[in-house]
Amino acid sequence: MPQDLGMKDQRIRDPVHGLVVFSGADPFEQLIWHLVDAPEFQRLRRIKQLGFSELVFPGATHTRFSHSVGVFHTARELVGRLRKMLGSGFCERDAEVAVCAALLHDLGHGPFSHTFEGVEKARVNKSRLDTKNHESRVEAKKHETWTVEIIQGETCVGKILSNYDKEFQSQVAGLLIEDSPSDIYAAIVHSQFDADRLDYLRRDKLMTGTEHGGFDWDWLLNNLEIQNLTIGGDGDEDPFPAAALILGSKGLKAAEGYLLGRFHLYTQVYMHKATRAAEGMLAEFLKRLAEVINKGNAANTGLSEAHPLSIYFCKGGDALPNYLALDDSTIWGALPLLARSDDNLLSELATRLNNRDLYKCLDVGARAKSAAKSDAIGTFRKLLAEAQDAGEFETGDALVDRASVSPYKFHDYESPKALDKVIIRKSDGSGGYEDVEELSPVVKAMRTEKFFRVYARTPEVMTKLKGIWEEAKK
Amino acid sequence: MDAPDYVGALIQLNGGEIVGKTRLQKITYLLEAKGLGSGLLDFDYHNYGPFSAELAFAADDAESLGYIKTEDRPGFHEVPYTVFTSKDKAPTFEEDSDTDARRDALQQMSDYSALVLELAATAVYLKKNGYPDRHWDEVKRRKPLKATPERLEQAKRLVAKLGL
Repeated sequence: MPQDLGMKDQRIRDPVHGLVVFSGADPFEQLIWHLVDAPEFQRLRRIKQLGFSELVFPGATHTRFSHSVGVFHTARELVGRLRKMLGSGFCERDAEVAVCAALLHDLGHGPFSHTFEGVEKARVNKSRLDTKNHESRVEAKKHETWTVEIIQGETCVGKILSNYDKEFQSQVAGLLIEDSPSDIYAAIVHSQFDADRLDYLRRDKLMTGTEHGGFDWDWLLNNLEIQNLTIGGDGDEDPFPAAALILGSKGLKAAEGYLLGRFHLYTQVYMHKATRAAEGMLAEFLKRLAEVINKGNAANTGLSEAHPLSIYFCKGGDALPNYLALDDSTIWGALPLLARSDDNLLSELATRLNNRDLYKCLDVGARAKSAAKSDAIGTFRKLLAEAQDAGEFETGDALVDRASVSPYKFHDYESPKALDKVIIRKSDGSGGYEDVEELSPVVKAMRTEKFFRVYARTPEVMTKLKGIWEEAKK
Repeated sequence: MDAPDYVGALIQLNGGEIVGKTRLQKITYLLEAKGLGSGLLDFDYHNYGPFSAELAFAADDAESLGYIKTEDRPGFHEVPYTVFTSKDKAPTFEEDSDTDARRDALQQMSDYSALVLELAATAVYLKKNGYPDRHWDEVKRRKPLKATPERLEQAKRLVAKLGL
């Protein structure tokens, strides 16, 4: 008897997870499959997960599409673990909201992801300074906001979700915008062991080819437990509750591996000097392009007025459909056109990005560390700002790159630090728990790494920067 | 006055101390929103409301320049928090009406916990960024566990006092 096509499973082969199956007999998994098929989700095929990292790690050409499918698969595995632990208390509906949110969490990324966000921020800030309207403080949209707009808007994803269940649609959007897990299902989307991190660490390690970043996934998953925590306020007694995924006592070494692996990927892959140089150059390039187009000079850029970048950067162009027309391929395709621009900076940056002719790095942070002069960084920054104000550098000559990478937290802030803790169940049978830091001397010894680098456009600019450093370290 | 100078002067004006990075971020945002800030710092929405990476870096630089000292202390359930203390080298604001207004606002904010400041700053941010009428509802939606009725009441009172 021929198989009913309506009941047929769909399958995706994935380099991290193997076969990812969407059951034809399960209405929820069919919803997920329809969402994967929607144009807004297919757009993620054209946004690389690691942006310019492929300039350093040629294998790292994986996309936000494969990552998002992997996050869905990981979320489904985490749900399996919750189902086992919660027994009759398990709620299928809440689990489905979390799994769907996990699938859609990256929908709102722009081209080159965080680089584009930085450009948008600079663009909005410049417009505020130009209009001298400091108090209005309208900020650039981040990808999380775009994601929610796509889920709730007049998009194919929005229509699929609203046809399935309007309340479900609103719950998925609500979960993605929530800032700390309101229940254990939300911890699948926001927590130390959320599906996003558990996929990207494994995927980025595999695709870059690095031996850094490994951790014992099976052991970690098998040792996950549920715990209601009380999170302290920041320096005062005003705590709030949060549901968390913690690890059983036998998961301690897996937790160490997980934290060390993540830290190594950040320092060795994500913060690589060449990758960061290319990101800085692209940011400078897009800021300039937006400025020229916004002034009504699109014709000087080499792009047609109908190009998605021309449309998005023109006055009032930053609407959702125009945003969705942008992806990495839009930018790569525009580079040869922009290389012929009348604007020298645009033309130079387009050519150099296309040819991987990157700015060279002066690693001020590393120099300060090796000279035991960490206090010289503040002086260097001040002297550089003075030199820039005095017109010693032209726009695009020196690109500053600052970042702070911690084994525990991503934002330099206290309350996330509390939520980002890895908690381990005590082995004494008391049911109590402890911070991994208290149990692991290795984790306790890990410190936040701070980066301060400047990228130079030419050897002459590099000579000037080195001169400023010599002055700063005196 | 650049950003590290501003951070040094702000801590000095707040009685020489600010307890917690959340408090530093949120009071700085609320001052910016009130038009009493530096005009130099960008804030955007991180998971916990308005956050400025520039401010975090400016605090690093202020420490590196000898304006302030930072110290981690063990807090609730041993989760550490940071105390920022101004040093003698810290710059100061000129004594004018803006500084008086800034001092008053800091005094008002000192009566509230970091979580209440987070709720207030988030509401002000959302009001200016897409939620002009529904900002308090949106705060509840985004922070279901933190936004208890008592804390929301306090946050609303603070926002009203600050005239935001």
